[in-house]
Amino acid sequence: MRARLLLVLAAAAGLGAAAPVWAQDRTPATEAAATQAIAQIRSPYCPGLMLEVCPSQQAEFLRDSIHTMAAQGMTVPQIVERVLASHGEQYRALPKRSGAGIWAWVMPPLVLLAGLALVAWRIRRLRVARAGIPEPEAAPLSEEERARLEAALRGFDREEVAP
Amino acid sequence: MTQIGEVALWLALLVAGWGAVLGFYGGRRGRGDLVLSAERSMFAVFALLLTTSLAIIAAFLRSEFRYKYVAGYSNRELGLFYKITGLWAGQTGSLVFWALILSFFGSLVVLQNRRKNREFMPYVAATVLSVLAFFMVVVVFASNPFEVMGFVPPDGRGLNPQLQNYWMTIHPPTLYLGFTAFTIPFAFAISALLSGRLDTRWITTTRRWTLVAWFFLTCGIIFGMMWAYVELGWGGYWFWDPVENASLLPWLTGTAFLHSVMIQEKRGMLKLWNVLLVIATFLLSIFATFLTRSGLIESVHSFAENTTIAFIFLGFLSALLLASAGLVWWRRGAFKAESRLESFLSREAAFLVNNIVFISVMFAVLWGTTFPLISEGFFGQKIQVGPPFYDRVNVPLGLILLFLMGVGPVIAWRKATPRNLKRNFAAPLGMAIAVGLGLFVAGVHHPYALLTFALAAFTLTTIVVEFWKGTRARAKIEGEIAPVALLHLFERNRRRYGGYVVHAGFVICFCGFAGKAFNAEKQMALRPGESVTIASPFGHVYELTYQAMSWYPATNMTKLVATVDVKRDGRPAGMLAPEKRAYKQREEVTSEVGIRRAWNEDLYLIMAGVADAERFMSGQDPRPMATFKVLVNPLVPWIWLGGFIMAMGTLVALWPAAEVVRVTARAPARAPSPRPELVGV
Repeated sequence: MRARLLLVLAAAAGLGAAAPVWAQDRTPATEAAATQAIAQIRSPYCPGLMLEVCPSQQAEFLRDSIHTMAAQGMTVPQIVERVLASHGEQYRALPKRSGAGIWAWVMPPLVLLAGLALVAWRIRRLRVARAGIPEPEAAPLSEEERARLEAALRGFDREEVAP
Repeated sequence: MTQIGEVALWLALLVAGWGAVLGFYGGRRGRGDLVLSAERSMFAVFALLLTTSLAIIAAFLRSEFRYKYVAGYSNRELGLFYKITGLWAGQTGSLVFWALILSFFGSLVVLQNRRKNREFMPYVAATVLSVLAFFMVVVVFASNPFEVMGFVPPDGRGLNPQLQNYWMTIHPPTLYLGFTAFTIPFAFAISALLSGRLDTRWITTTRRWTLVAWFFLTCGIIFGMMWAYVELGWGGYWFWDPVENASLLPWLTGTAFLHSVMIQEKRGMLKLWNVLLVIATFLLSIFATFLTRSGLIESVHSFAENTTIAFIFLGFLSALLLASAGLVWWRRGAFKAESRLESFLSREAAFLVNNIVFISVMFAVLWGTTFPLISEGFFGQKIQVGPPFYDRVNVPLGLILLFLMGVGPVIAWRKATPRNLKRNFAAPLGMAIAVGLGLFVAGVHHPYALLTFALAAFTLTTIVVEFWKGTRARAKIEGEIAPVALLHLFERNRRRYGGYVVHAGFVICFCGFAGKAFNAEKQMALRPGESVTIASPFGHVYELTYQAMSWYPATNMTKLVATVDVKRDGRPAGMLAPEKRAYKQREEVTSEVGIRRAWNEDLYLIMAGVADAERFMSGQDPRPMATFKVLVNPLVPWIWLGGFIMAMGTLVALWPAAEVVRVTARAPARAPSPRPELVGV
């Protein structure tokens, strides 16, 4: 088991030695672009994990190369396309807004809009149905009736339930 | 002992099948004797499954490695506590555990309802027993915990290192408690459909069960986040992984249901919607169990071993879906609303929009989770969907929910007048604008974070105003001092004020999520004695000094520990000790992070790697270079605080009302027990 631990840590030794993560020619803007690009790529080295959290040494090298690409002036989409071109489309974490990928983006807002449209339609239908029915005329309340109403409303407020 | 457990498992299957058949038949024919037998079958199944579970635990404690399941999830040096938790460490045992909890809940329901809801109980017992029978079939025929290997290995493979964590011992049981408890409202909904009694009674009867399920599911999800945060070493707590998503799906529909039942109780509306929500919640619980075990979608949490189980689950899900849809169609005439939605500016509409948003979030999560399969099936191209997709789709929806959380509880029923709107929302709106402007001036320019804090201020103000108004009115009417009035306010309407507490917890959680926008991160290779500094978004600076490295063998593992001193603005602020662990039996090395917790942020330290480790461990280099990843995670503690407040609020809402306690206390010790009566259908 010690051998296993050594093996892993030896692999990580390169990581420790390399560690030129914050090279001098990198600016906060290029670092932010690199971070954005890394956040859009799944790790080719850790199944199921994003590149930003994959602990493997190769993932660290890939992240570092992305920081270098950003420092060279590449934009976020350019970096993402470059990485996916060399590693494979299956590592794209954010579906494209074209082709089959568009369906991933379109369906959730459609469901929300359909739901809201349904509620709006029900309310409108009810209003149309009520349009022909005259509202009953309300007689002015006496003082006693007004007091009873206020008391009832207070009771209603107390009794009503909240989530 | 293990042989007894295996026999008990078989008997549990037979008894569950027997009870299910008798329950449906007895209910249909109005035969009290058959229904009684079905109900007693529930107790028998619980006793039998308890025996099976104890037998599995005994096999773990005695390290009986001839059993494939025990050999796969234990080893001789594994601690006693983790041996006990071996019951739910793997797929096989977790299915038995699922069934055990369900049979326990089923028995409780039978006990609770032995003198009431008699028209529902035959079908409730039958539905729960049918679900139990399904789980027994899976366990007995596709995933038997008592499967014996052809040989006895000298030691087991050991428990997955990432599961050897206190949060992981409690996270699965609480999640299962939540999933299984949702079976009870589902069983009552099926019963209401079969008996044709679709008024509010099935909802009021299961109100507390729904809250119990929601409580456990919420706790389970929060515990899972805590586990991911301390154990996975990513610095994050939620990763939109398919298995995480699967646990969120029933929570979302369950939360929508908790809100929409109030409209049915108050206005007699949304009867069909509530039935559909409760069915969807249960189906999504089964879907979550299926997804964890199917291996169809890549996940870091999945413990899929046997794809046969995936197909059995898929068949069961399809059957449930068809049967539920058939029943709803059959009773479609019974869902007529007793009143109508009159205005968009009403509490009903606010709750309905809240429901639509919850369902939209659920759909977005479900859609994203299954999109790789859908895109492959329809377009021949497997398109992966990762965390950034969920963030982009769900953050706006979450903000709408945060806003509605402030609107829903205080807007008037039926139709709000301008006076009502002004009276209820002037102060919260003012507070939201003040907080938003104040934070903007203070330098918070992230749009979503700013909006979250402003909406949080809006919602929290509505809650505070509600408490203030209620306390003031009570103090005035009853002549009580404010703290006593507040206490009595809770007593008077636990559900309402418990709900407000839950909302407050949710708002605090949201603020915690928004803190992610200000995360700071640095990675650096250091020699002992060297330091790294990192600035917190709150303005102070941490200085971390790598002091020393040590390694030593511990029980069941070898540890490599770095000692790092922490200073905050130059003042000593404790020590962190991130670790690397290599567990015996498992070919895995895990990271244990060092966390310095404060009320507003976490300083999170990961030891990414060690150079010259071999020379260090052989004593040649006592000062090895190590790479550290340092993160400042603002407001993460608020997520745990918010989760705790949500749990407390749910407990307040769940607590039996004082009146009920008094009535129970006055009941005669030995009240005559009438024979169960049945209403034929």
